[in-house]
Amino acid sequence: MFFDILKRDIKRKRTMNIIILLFVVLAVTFISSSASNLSAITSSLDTYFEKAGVGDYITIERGTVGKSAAEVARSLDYVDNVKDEDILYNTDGIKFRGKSLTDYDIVIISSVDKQIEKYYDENNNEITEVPEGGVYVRKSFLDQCGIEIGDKITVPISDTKVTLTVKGVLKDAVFGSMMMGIPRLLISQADFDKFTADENIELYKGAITFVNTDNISALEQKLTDCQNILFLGSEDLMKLSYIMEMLIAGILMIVSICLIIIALVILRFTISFTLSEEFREIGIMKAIGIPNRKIRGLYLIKYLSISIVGAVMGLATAVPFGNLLLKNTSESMLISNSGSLSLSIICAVFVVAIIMLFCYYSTRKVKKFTPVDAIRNGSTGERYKKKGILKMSKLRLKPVPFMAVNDILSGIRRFGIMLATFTIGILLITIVLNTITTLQSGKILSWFSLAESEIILSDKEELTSYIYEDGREKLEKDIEAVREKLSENGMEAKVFAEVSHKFKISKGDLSTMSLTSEGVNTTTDMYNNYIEGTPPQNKDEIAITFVIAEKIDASIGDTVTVSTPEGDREYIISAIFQSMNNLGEGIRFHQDEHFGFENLNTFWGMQIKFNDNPSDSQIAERIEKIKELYPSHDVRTSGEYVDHLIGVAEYLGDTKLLVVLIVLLINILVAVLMEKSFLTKERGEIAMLKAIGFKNRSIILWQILRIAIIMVIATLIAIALSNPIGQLSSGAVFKMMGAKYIIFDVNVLESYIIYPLIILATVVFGVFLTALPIRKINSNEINNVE
Amino acid sequence: MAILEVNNLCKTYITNKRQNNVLKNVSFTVDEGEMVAVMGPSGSGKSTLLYTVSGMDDMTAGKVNFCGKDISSLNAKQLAQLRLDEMGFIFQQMYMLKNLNILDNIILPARQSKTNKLSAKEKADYGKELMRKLGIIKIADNDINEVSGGQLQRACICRSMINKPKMIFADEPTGALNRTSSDEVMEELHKINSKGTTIMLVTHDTKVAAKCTRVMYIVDGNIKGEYNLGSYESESELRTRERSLNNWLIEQGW
Repeated sequence: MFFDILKRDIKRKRTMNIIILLFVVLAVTFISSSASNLSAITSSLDTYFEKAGVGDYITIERGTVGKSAAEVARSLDYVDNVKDEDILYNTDGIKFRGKSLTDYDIVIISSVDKQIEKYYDENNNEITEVPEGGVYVRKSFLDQCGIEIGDKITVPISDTKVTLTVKGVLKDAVFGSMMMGIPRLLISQADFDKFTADENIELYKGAITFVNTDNISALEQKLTDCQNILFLGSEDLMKLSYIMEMLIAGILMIVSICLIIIALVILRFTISFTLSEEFREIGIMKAIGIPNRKIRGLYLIKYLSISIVGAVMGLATAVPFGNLLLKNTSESMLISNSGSLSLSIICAVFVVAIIMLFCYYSTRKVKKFTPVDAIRNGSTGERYKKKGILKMSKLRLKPVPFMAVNDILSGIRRFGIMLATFTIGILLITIVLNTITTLQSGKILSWFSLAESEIILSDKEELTSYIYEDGREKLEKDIEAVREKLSENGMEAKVFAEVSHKFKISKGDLSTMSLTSEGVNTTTDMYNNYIEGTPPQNKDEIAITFVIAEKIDASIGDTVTVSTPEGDREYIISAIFQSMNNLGEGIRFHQDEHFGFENLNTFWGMQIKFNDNPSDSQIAERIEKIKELYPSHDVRTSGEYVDHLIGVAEYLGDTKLLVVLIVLLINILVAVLMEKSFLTKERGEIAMLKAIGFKNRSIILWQILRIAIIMVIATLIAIALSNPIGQLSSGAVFKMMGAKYIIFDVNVLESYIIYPLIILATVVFGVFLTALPIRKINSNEINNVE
Repeated sequence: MAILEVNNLCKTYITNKRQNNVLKNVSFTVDEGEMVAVMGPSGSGKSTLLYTVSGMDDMTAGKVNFCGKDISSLNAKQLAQLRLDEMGFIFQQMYMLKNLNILDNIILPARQSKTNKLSAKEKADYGKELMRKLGIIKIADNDINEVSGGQLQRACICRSMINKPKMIFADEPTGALNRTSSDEVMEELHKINSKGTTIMLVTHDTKVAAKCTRVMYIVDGNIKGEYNLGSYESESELRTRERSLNNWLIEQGW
């Protein structure tokens, strides 16, 4: 008989049982895939670097002057192991379909035979050989340049040009991150030899060195004397270059955590909601003498059966869903999903256990009630408890909106679940949108230690044309020429530029290499990234970033030594600033302190700031005009330039789309399933409303309005929370990149109006479709409804 | 003058491919000011008749005229409008919205009606006036689970009256009540009827039916007979009316 009751229950309450089943499937899918992804992401970088065999310390050199880093490292007795490989630099641009690619100023060429790290293809298989005429390159390079596997690219170095066919995606631990501005082309030794046969190849040579040692700080002090160093840093610092991948992964982690919370909250609601519907039957069973233990057992077995079926179905959907979440991150990193199935199974078991716990908790009331209580409580399970909050007789609201508002206020718990779900969803979208808007805004130009400007004019050839001792004079002349040309064409503007050197800075025994910014035609007060102190006012004053300050244990007022091409000089720190260059490196001198450009590290292009504060449309017009004046140059707005520097907008765009789709899907599912359960519960009330003359339209509107009101409240809460939560989530990633604090740039229309409206519209449409069967409820059903 | 004219009304349900003719060519009229009871054994089609003639359920064949309107020609929207403005309903289950208090439940149809031109305050005042007349004004602010079944059914009567309907349809209005509550409810319905509102009710209770002016006896979807009781002046007449009704019902096979 026990199983007969169970069988009939599952059949008779098909709708509610299917709803519970769907929620269980959702919960298992979200929790299993999220847990697997969390595990894969958190351990992925360490595993990736370990598998790739990256050393404890990495140097990248450009040029062959003096002692190489490998030679220095090999001479040190505390160094365990040194591995180095020769590389080539392409600075003339890669040609694709006859055009020069402008996305990357420098590209590194490596031979597969000389590899000191392990490379992987898109299927995570190790790349041990590359056929002659073939090339492997990272996914972000292909995406940004619009190149597909099988396409041909031409690589010029000096007078040698080699045409190569893209064979596949390269997963490269050292140069594979989106933030790494220099991509690597992995080619065959035969093709590498074609380049090295060029008589001027020495100018384009460099090296990568991996050093294993326990004494990294001592090694770093020694390596600061090498003249060719372009980059040096520990493995940990190199891992930080994956910050953008981690930002995306971080966003997905937040999505995953939210999904887990949503799943658990909804399960809790659904179980207590459906059990409260059963009180009448529980009362009848008690009345005819079935013991409490058996009654509880009946429901426990019912939910156990549903949750096991749901868990199996959820497991099947968890893997593809998890892969979808990880898609972007796994394209540039070796992400290990091994063990994810066992973790997914553990999660599924966890969900079943949680359901049983919720069920056990919810059925404990069975014991407390007398049969009469249970029967009388009927559909609500509550007795003598005030339900209504508002009074229609005291308000001028029309009945339908009144009923909607009153229902929400009278059922805070059940609508609270929906509110929490919608709030989390909108919050997720808002954080992602605000992060992307901030990253694409010209305002964060100052985070890269650049003064504010509307347009940046850059040319690949320019860096090499200024790399000599009096390069500054040439740059000043070029700047003046640009200014005059703009003026002749009716565009009065201040033109200036930013260049970077790599200098050693030390205080006492502590020293480090740092990117050093030097403005041409700027003053130190034009930079608004200072967080403490006063911009350098005299030639003997400098500002340093807080990251450098921490490295050499310096603060405002301290005297530090900077090793410049003109010799060691002492400076007083007058200010601390923040910068995202090289994860927080930075020194800024007074505008009158100039250095020879012979070891110039970076030329950031010429910046144009118009005198008449033009509108966005005017700037767009002027860009077109400047493009005509300088056809070989790249002319970008500040926002586009930052986007070009970070190179992550496209991926964040994909992530945005993914998050929006997930949030939409979840919100619709939650709204639809909840509406379905409301309809089941409110069938009697709907029949009564129809009987007394309410039209279908009014009843459907009542159902929709409740959810729409919740959605609007959720949007308002999400807007209020977006900044603090944003600071905690993506703000934390910016901080790791070197920004001590950030102010999010918000596109109010997009973040707070358009996307919430899209979600509102889709949710309302979903609820509308779910509520349509109201038309089929007959008013004469009133006496048949429990 | 007839307020409700029913001609050859048929209602057929098809369950599991089996045709079930619940109403078979039923014809009758109800005049303005009448209080008609429909009686009959369980499953005879009493409630179906009530729901079909009031437009709550659709008919299979036949014609129903309510206040000169052919309700078979009205769409769902027009029927809803008709129920809201010109009909009142009382059910055996005293169904009300659980999130509204008693007064709000009563005035809900008035607030929804566009033809009821009273202001919101006037509607609330009228609701209170009805509650006062039915002796339940004390429970105006109570929730529906805080009152007795008799009080709740009287509240349902108030709700059915709020838009001053031309006719009230009641499906076993005393079916869930004890004798005292039942008498109180019928007393109120009698008062309403004596003031001109037409009432058609379904009941199993001869004591309830004895308070009506006419009784229709329905068996297997056909009206087997009608019994005219006429109106009564005092409570003392009720016992005689009930006895004669009982005799007639026995003749009909009750």
